[in-house]
Amino acid sequence: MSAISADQWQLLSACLDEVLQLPAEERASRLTLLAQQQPELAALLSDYLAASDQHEFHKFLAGAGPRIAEELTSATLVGRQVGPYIIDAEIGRGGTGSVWRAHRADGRFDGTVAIKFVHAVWIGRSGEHRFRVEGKLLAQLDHPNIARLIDAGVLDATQPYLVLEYVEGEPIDAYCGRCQLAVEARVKLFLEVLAAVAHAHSHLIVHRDIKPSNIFVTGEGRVKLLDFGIAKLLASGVADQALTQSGVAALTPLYAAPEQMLGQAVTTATDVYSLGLVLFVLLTGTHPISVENLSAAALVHAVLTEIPPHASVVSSIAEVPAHALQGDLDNIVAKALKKTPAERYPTVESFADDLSRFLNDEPVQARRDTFLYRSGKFVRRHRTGVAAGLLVTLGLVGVSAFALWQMFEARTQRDIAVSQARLAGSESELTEFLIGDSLKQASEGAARERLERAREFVTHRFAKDPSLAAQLLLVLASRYVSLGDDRTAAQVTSDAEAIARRLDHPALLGQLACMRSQFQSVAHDYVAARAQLDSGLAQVRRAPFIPSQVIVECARASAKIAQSVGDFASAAANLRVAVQNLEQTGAYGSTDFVSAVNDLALALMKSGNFHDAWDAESRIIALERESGLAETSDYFALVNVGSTALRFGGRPRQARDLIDSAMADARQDSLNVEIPAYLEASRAMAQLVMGPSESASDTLKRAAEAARQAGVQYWPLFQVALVTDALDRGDAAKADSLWEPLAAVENKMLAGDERGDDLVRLRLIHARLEMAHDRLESSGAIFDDAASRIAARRQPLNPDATSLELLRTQLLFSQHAYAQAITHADAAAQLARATAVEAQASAWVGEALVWRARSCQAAGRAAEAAAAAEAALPHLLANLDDDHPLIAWSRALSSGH
Amino acid sequence: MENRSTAERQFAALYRDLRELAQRQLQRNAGAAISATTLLHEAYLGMSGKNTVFPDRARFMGYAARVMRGLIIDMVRERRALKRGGEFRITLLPTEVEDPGPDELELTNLSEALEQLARHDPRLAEVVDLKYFCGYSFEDIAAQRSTSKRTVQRDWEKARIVLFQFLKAVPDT
Repeated sequence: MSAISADQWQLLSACLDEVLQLPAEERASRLTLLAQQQPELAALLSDYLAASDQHEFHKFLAGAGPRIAEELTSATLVGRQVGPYIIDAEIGRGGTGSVWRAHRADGRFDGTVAIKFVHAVWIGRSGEHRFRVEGKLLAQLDHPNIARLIDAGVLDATQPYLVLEYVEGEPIDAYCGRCQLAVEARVKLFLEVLAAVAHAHSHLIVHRDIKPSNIFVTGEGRVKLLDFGIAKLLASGVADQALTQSGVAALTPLYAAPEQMLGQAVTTATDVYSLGLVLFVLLTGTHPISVENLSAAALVHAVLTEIPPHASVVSSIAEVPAHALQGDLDNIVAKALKKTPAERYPTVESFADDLSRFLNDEPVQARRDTFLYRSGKFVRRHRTGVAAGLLVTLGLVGVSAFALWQMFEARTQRDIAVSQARLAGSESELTEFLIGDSLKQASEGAARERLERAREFVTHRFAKDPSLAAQLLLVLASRYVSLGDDRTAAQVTSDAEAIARRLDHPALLGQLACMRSQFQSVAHDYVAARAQLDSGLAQVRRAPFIPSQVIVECARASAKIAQSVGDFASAAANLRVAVQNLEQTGAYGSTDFVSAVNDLALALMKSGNFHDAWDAESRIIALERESGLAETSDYFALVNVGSTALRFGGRPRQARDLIDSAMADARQDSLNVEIPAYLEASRAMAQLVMGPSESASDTLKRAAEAARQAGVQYWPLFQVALVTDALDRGDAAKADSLWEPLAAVENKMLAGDERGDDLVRLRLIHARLEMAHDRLESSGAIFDDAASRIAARRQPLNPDATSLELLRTQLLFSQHAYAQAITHADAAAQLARATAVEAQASAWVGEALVWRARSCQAAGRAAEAAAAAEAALPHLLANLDDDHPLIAWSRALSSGH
Repeated sequence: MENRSTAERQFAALYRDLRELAQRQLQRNAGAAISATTLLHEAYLGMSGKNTVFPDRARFMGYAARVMRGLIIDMVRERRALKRGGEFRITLLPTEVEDPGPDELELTNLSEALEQLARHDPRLAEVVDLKYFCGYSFEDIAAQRSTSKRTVQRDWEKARIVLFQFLKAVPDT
């Protein structure tokens, strides 16, 4: 280390400070000057500065510092006390957690146990109680051939663990191989396994995860079943939606039964299947499905559709010749391996009975399969409703029946790939991503870091399973998008793409094309987007089955294109499909899910369906709040959309209250939370619909000004609301001054032939303004222009339709055309009801009815006027402030005037 | 003499506290890396009450950051030991492919360089402890010291230059 004296340091430090503050150009001259005055110091200084020019300096201390991470746990657990036990050593580490050997601390009896620490993610937030309860149930299982679950607990209130009987031995297939057992010996050993499983079944406990590595044989030749029921214990914790595949996540696909893969009910017949597979392995030394070079998705497909060969055909064990298997044993194994649970042995006992008959040379029950059965693939029948819907929403035209059936079959096989991912990725972090919870709760920096590690993990870990790797990379890409990092998302996506191309994997290529289509839509290149979508769908049709996430991407791509041409109803239909599929993939609650539901809500709003929009949005608002995300900016954005839906749907009071409670929630969690300006503005707008309010006007004015200065696009909307407020109060002069800045915007939009909603709203308010000044001709002209623009959208129900009719009514009223005004008031009421969030309580319905009442009264139809006014009142009282002019009108008119 | 042993005891006590907190968090996190800043925060909360040595949070943090540095280096050292020897493990965890990060030797050298710098300018060394070892952001550090972010950034750059030069003299092993 270069020594430097205290004096030297003083000088050096001061010089460094000075020089570092100078811009680069001036530094050289300063140094030269110094060299003349104090040459030694200058030399020292330039040494130091020269260092900072070196290449290595860039990396010095750059990036994150050292991390404190995982491995420490081992060092810190040994010797630790867990309940009445003390930990000795680590035995192994698996998908669900780590296993340790421990002994009793009090030395009361010489008992060695195995303690399995389970990653908390498997237990889930609400699962702790169930974990303990189920644990107690499993602990009651007491059989000499079943490794006992002694206890289940939670350490430090956060770390779940299981205490299990400690078993020393080897897996059953290894044992049979090592001891070179002949057929009868193997079958007899297997019967012991069956006896154990039958015992558990009689206690209504299903294993769910039977495989050779879970069946140990001790040194004394005793069979011990491990992990009995543990899969369920773990599965019962994770969010029900996420685990529709009932415990698949904790399983190996090799030994899972078809119904487990499809997320259907798990029964004792499921265990029969897995046992059948174990028997197959014991008798032949191989697994019925050749797993070499098989992608995970293809593997699952094989499990679901391929009939396994006869054991005798593939036998490769010296001690078990083919002829010993031919006939009865072949048939017994085949029966246990039937795809349909109902066709297998109904109970483990019946399975055992048939095997006993075989050993005793008695006729067995299992019958030989027909040639027809053996030669075909196993195919399932499903209802047709889903397929038709899919056809419509994917915008597919002229799809052949065969292709349709294929897509349909695929759809009901659900997200095989994602379940696989969850399965293989059960190693902590990746699973967490796919379940989606923790990523949202992490800070952005931490989330990014974890994503990077996951990306590396995926690439390395699944190097042998590229199609799964590609699919996982796509999932990660979407996470990056949700973090706003489109660039990295694009990089990750092209990694995935390279793999997909190499494999010529149609489902993946289709998914990628659809994702690209979405990017292009976002960039407004709709021609390219459509072309990509078509190519994507073409690929998808080639695929033997379509994982749900592919459907999600296709649906989203179609939705974006539909939105670009204003076909919001189609877009909404597509987005519904996307949302449903996301729920299927267990992504319920994830960022993807939330953003898809939000997109759906927006599309619904654009198509005037505020009721469904609010329905969808309120779900995810509640979801986010439950996940503890009530003060994030995402949450505020959702609340804003929800509030807007309520407001447009005629429920301004609810719209305001929603924002109030969101702000209160946020402030409760964190005093320094910053409520975004647009949210305050939305609240103010809702308040103003309810009735005049100084504070709301002020808030809105400030927000509009701030937004305008910030160059935010939607500032005119705030201003429009202010103009509306002024007009509602009858202050035409004020309305004029507020309109001034908007006039320029309107002209610009007219010149630019702007198609969007904003221009229409400006025109409508302009028309109202003209009307307020009694310039009815001008008002009429502007109004007609607005009407034709809306008509051009070809969407009978759209957000502006009701305002248009109300304005038309007002116009006619001012022109004394009362009969026509009544007609249009009715039309307005009808539209308002159709688009209302709550048809019985809508401010717009109320307003339309008031106009009806006024028009009727002016036309001399007093009774009808009173009736309309009375009908209006409940709508108005539910939504508006008591001092709102509309309420005054409706009271006056209903009591007779 | 009296001062030194008090200082040593204080250091040891804080070290112990931090180590316990770290262990607890590691188990809770079941695999993910833990946050040094959280540890320090918890340690500070634990200490207020019994603590009369540190008049304010900023001084505590500066001091604690140095203790943290020592703890982290020790932990890294232990991790290396486990990886090299230790028991056979059937692990499928992502830690296999993780970037190893700075190794023990680098960190020890850096630590010594920091001690040297601290002798001349303790506040400068503190910035490095807080930022590099404890993961505080410039904003956090500025807030703690009631100074500007710009100042902290300048200090950091200066410290980097000085430390880099100090380390150049160290022979590579």
